[in-house]
Amino acid sequence: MTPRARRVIPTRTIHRRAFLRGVGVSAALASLPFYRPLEHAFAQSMGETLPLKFIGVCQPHGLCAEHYTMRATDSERVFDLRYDNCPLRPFDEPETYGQSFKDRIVIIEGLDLGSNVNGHDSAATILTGSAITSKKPQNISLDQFLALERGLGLATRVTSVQLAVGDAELNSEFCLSYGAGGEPLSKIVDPVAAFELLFRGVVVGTDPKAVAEAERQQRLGKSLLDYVRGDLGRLRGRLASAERQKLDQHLDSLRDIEKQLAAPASATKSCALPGRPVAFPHVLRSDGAAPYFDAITDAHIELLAQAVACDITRFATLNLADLSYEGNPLGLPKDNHADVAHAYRGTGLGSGALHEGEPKTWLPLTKINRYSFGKTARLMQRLSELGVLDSTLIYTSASMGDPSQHNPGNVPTVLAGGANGKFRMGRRIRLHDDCLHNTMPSPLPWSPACQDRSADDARVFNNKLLVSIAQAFGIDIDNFGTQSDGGVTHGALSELT
Amino acid sequence: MYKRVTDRRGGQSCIGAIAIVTASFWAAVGLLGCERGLEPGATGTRERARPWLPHYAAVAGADGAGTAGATADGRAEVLLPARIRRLSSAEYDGSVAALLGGALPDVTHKPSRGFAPDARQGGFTVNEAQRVDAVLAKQLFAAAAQLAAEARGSFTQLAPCAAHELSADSEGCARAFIADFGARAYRRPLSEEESTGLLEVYRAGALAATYDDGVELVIRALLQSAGFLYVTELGPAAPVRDDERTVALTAYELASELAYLMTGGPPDAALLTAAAAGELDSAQARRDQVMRLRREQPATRDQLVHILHEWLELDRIAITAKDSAFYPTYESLQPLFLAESHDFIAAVLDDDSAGASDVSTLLNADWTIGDQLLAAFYDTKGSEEAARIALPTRRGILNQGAFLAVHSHAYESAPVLRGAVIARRLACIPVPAPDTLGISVTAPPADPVLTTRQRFAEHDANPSCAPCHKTIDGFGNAFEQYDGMGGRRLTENSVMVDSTTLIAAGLDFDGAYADSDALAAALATSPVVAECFARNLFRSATARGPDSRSATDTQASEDEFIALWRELPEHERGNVVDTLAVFVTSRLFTHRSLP
Repeated sequence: MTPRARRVIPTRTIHRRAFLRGVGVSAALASLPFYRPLEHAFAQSMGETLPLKFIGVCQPHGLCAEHYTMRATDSERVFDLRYDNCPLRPFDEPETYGQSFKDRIVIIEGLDLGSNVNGHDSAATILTGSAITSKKPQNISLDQFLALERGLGLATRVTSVQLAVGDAELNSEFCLSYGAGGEPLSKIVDPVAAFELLFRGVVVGTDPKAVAEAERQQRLGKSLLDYVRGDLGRLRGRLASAERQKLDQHLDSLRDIEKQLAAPASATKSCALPGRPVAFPHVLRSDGAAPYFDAITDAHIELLAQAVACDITRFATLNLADLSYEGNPLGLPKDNHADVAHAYRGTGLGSGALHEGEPKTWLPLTKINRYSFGKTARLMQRLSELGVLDSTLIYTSASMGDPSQHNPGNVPTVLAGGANGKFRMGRRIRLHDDCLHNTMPSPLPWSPACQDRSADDARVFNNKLLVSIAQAFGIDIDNFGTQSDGGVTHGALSELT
Repeated sequence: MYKRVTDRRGGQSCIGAIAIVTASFWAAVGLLGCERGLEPGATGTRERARPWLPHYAAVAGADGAGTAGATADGRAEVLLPARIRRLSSAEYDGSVAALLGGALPDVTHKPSRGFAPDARQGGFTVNEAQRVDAVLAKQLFAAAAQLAAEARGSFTQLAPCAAHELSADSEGCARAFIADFGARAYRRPLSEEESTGLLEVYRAGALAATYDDGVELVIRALLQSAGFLYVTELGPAAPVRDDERTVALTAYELASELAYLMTGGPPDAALLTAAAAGELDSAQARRDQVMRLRREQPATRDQLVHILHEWLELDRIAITAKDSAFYPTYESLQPLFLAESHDFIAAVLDDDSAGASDVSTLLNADWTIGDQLLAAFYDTKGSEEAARIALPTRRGILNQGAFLAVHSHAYESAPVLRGAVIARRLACIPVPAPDTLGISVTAPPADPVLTTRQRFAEHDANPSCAPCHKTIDGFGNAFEQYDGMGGRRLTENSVMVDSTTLIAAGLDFDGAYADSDALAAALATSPVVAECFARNLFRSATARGPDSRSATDTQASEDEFIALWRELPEHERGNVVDTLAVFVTSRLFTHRSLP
């Protein structure tokens, strides 16, 4: 295991002590995590920054690049998101999301996933930056690297959480988060289970019986986990190093339970215990739960926002699903995959080789894109209302650009949130310049800024973005991911800062 | 150096070995002479056509003693690497049932039902990839708490004590409980450290509470601990010498391996007694246990069905959905397919008549098990209750609803999916996934005029597709007579369906076939298919396969196993239990290599 990053005591500690003195709380009690939410509110009012949080989001079905791309009238800092067919409109739709988020997003065009495969498995590359071999990535994902390996998630009750809508499958097509060695992590598809995971043990009120019982459960749990930990350690001691990895992961996994047992959180004014979500009749696509997916997604978003606001976790991933069912609210065919994603005929925009597409196939895919981006916007709305958007970084992507070609090039890439000011937000970045031939029989009603892509214009892989995000979290690395060409994994995305 | 002479006559094989080695070796070889099969190390069958098989001397001490790690000519012995593996969800359920079964209110409820799904390798859930991650750790924690609470009602039997209020005797009772229940949970006697640790847990639970509270906490701890959750293949706990390259599994490890393989659950009392008495070192004793479990334990039959399900991915029928616009009757037939896939395999396995309980029957049976609704779907008649149905034309498991529906799309048949499964799981042709070759897969668009087979015509025409797809589609096209839910069809889009196929893959069943039923008959008698079946059983039994991270280590072991398996007479080779018994009686089962 890599040594933990040494945590520098932030200056807000000074203010925290002042606050605690002010409310007459002793230092010992002050170490319990349930004071933190109140602290956060206070710290914010003192103009301090909260710890940085990361949320990774994966959308289905790639991208309709023709509607996503910057328009001729747009520039890096001044751009329109409200034109017809703009998939990014939710980020500038205060009538729906309470405010415009234009100044807190970075939209990137021309970023590729270095998965080295064509297909849905490229989803695994979004947070690992790894080429896919034998259907798996080769290294840990960025969220786990930051949360677990570098210890940034250890201070919270839940080190990290992985949520998904509709599919619990443990394969590269459906997973964003991977442990050491590229092993996919289980996801929670049921909002009730997510609630249990995030908020179990949170004691409401001061009923002495409830508190006493919670304390007893703590003590019992600690005793049994001490034994379990010792037992795992004894077995681990007998193993060769390759085998030890299995138990290292198990030991790490006990940590979250131990943290929750060490000090149960208490709901306070600024961190309210969310209501237990209603149980859905089904949550898996294979059980026919597709009509519930929209509501399930919103339930997950709600829990995620609350968990971040209460500092229960600082690292999360969320896999979105499509709405492939008869009578879906987007008015799309029942099978989004075959009849929208694979029916799409794009122009190759963003992938270098341009050709004529079929414009009538673009809008259905754009509707899926807009619906998906709308979920990120909704997440931003809730985080903002709870006062934690400024200290959160969201990275939204998809496994593919052109979905009918299964092309992992020019994937939709949106960074969102305040990110504690680590990135310059409110911009559109194009990593390449692409040109649409003006001789196309049905030209677009607009012409994008056009320069021929030169032969030296090398592909830019999302590894650079992952490096940048790690650096934003204060982790001083300059490469991330596993690629056969080592040069690909090095360097940050300079455009961001 | 020595030369080996092999002589193969209708399945019997003799080894004649000329060796310049010690006299004792000579004697051992002479004794082993023309014996077949049972004793590990009596590997004689070396076909000259396969010089790549490792030279493996008949090492003296076939019962487990003998030279550590080297053959007579000094090469490394072929063994599987030592390791641990986590119980699969199904094995967790089986282990909990064995441990607490009588004490739980609802024996049919599977505690793992809410768990994150198992990772699969080669279709099998028992494999090396299983991990405990943060989500599963919490699920195990919650499940343990619930199971222990539910078992409280039976503590008078599970953890008897004169008084349940705390008294001077309580700790004595607790110690006895820990020793007994702990040994059953860990499938071996506890160590000193483990007993002491668990006593501390008891004390924490009983503090300012009752004896039962202490016992409950011990159960919670045991159900989440390493001794319960992981199966070890490490040998004795005492440290090995640095130059040791192999290790023999302990008697209790052998018992666990045998039990999980045959029953999907922990060793029963008879197996533990045999382990304690040191009997499991003997290959014959292990074989006897295999046969005993097959006879006596109902769980064995279900476990074998489970393995065969996973071999062909038939267990996915439970989660396979179809587009109701295309297959409106699928929803009502799905439970029938699920039941059939279980009942048919069970019936094949239960048939003790010669040559019946084996892969060729699975592939070529002209009957199945189902009720009249299923029979009607198969264009024949049946009875109200599920019973044996004679099938006029369909042959074997590949032409039954479950296989056809699982390996199809929601709205159409899928010759590529079906062909790929046949290639990988019946012919052991390692077909790579297109994305590993960097190939962009664009599904042919739906077409109101062309048939499915016609839409995939590019696979033949395009020279970059043809090399793999000639074989894959060659298999898959034979099934075109059955639509995406396994229903028989004569036409598609008003065009006659073409199920004829020509297999030219360099296999012993190459040839022209009218349809998948004719193909099934050929697969049933093919030695290549029989061998591939044996390989798959080995991969399931050893919880490793080509997909696993230690794949290179295990390929040699797999080939070694096949060499042993070939010593079975031909008519026994397709038999599931006999094939597993070859593994269980071999040194591959009892020993592991050290890194």
